Amino acid sequence: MIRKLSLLVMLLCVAAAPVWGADVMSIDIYGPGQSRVNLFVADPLSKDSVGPLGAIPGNAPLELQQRINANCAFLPFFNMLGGRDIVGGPNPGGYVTPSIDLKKFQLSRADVLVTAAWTPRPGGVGEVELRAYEVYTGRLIVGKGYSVSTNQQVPEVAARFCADLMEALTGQGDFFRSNIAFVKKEGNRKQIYMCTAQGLNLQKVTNLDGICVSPSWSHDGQKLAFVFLDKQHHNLCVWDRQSRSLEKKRLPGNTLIAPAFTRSGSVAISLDMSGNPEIYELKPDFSVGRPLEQNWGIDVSPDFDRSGQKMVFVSNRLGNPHVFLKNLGSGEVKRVSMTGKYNTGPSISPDGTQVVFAHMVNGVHKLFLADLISGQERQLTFGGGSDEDPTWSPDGYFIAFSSSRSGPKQIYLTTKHGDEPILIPTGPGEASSPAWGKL
Amino acid sequence: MKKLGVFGLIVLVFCLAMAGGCSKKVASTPAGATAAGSGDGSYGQGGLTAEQLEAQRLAELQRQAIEKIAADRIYFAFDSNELSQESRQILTDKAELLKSTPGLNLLIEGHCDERGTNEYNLALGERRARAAYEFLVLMGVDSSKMSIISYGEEYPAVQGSNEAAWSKNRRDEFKASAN
Repeated sequence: MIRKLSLLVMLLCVAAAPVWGADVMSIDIYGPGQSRVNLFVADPLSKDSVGPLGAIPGNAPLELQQRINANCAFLPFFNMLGGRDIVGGPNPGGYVTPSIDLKKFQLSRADVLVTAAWTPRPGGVGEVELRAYEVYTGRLIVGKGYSVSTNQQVPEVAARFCADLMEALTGQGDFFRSNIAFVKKEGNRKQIYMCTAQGLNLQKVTNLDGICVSPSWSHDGQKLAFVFLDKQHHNLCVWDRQSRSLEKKRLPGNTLIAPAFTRSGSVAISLDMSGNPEIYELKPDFSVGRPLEQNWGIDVSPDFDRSGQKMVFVSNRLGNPHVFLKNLGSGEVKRVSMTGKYNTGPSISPDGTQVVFAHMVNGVHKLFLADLISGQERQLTFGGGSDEDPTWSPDGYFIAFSSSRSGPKQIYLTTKHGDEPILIPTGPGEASSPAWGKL
Repeated sequence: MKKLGVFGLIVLVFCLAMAGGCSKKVASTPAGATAAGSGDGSYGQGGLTAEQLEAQRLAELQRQAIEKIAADRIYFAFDSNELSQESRQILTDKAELLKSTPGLNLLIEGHCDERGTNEYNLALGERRARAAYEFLVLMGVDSSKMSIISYGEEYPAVQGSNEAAWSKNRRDEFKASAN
């Protein structure tokens, strides 16, 4: 989709100061806590400061401002300021320093100011220059220009700018470059959908007569595996994003559970060939390869870290479902979830240091985070309803999950710090089982 | 699966209708022709051949067995695939029906309540279906006539988020069909 957009992106001539200078604003999203910065997105201006914004067709300037605001509101380290928060009114007076009146933004405790300057473009919507300034120093954090041909490109422009802004501040901008596949209920059927992490570009992936469950992306974000339950059988499905083709396979045994891609690109899945769900690695032709975990009990829900050496999974070998970690190199298995009697749905962080899973408390599930280095376990989500199916973002900062906290299941977003969950809008119908992949 | 059951019934009704159709044809055969028959007993009551009568009897037997097998579900405790004494008795009755009724296949569906998580529930549903399958094999039912499928929490029998609903949803269902 992105490649198809004919966006002309150019770094503005205004040179950005080195991002990681000693006194440069940065946000450590991976540390034990995180700082918050106040962000204000100014009203769009006309670049020549004479021509009215009305020369831009449609509502593009205002929509872009709203999109940037909405995108940044997904990031827990931003505190979004409104026009009323700005002492002396929100008009910045200009879109580039030194014409911007930074003093009033300093007085208003804004840390970052975003400006937009538009010029009409014959045959298109217009050209827009977006800048983010560090208010205290006046330093340009990000400056980018975009040529917008159609109004449909506005969300993409907003996402790209926000990715660059997040990357400049945190060193990581994949949030805006990634997407989430999930299961959506449609009558008696369940289909696979996908959208960006902000709920944009919603697409229906499947239209199958039955129930689709447990989507999981390959590490390169190009393939999506899931299980399809038809009226008689379980089937493994692999969807290719490039060709949009769907392969449907019957595998030995009756029960196929929770496929996941290994680092090498093969599919790991639980099969009950031996009369018990065990985790196997499939060969490229989908024939059954080596067992990754075998035990007398149930072994399901594998997930792998970026190195491919660590696999978390669920087993009831101790009588109740618990989360375990297997070192695929040494074969050593150790228990991860230490409390409670029902711990399921684990997802291991890409760096292999933390595991998030659903822990049953008083009959409902809450997300817990286990630190594999310290061995500590802590509760990440609170409140009403049940929180299930956690999945790490590729940058290892966000966690998407499904929750019934507001009624029917929907997809929410929190972080490894347990920030207040934010709803990812996915349209009408129950949404569950999010799987986070690269864009 | 319900649709499949309905489909099975429709097929059965169709078969019976066909059998009825045949009987009409036989009945239209001139009486003299019947009288001139060999008298070897190939025509029976109502003008049906012995084979047709037998097929009709079998179809009726199967229909009744399919109904009885589907009627009694077995239920489980939370996060358990253990068969209760009551479940064993129900399964014993089903085993007798399956053994005494020729030509039946059985699909055992394992289901769970909504409280567990989806993927683990698929595994638990498999264990529940397999528990019934293994018991039936022990009771002498031909394993090649049976198959299992787990639906996890996807098809609750009763809607609701309370123990009354959950206890009805932690179950095995039994879908027999004539082969």
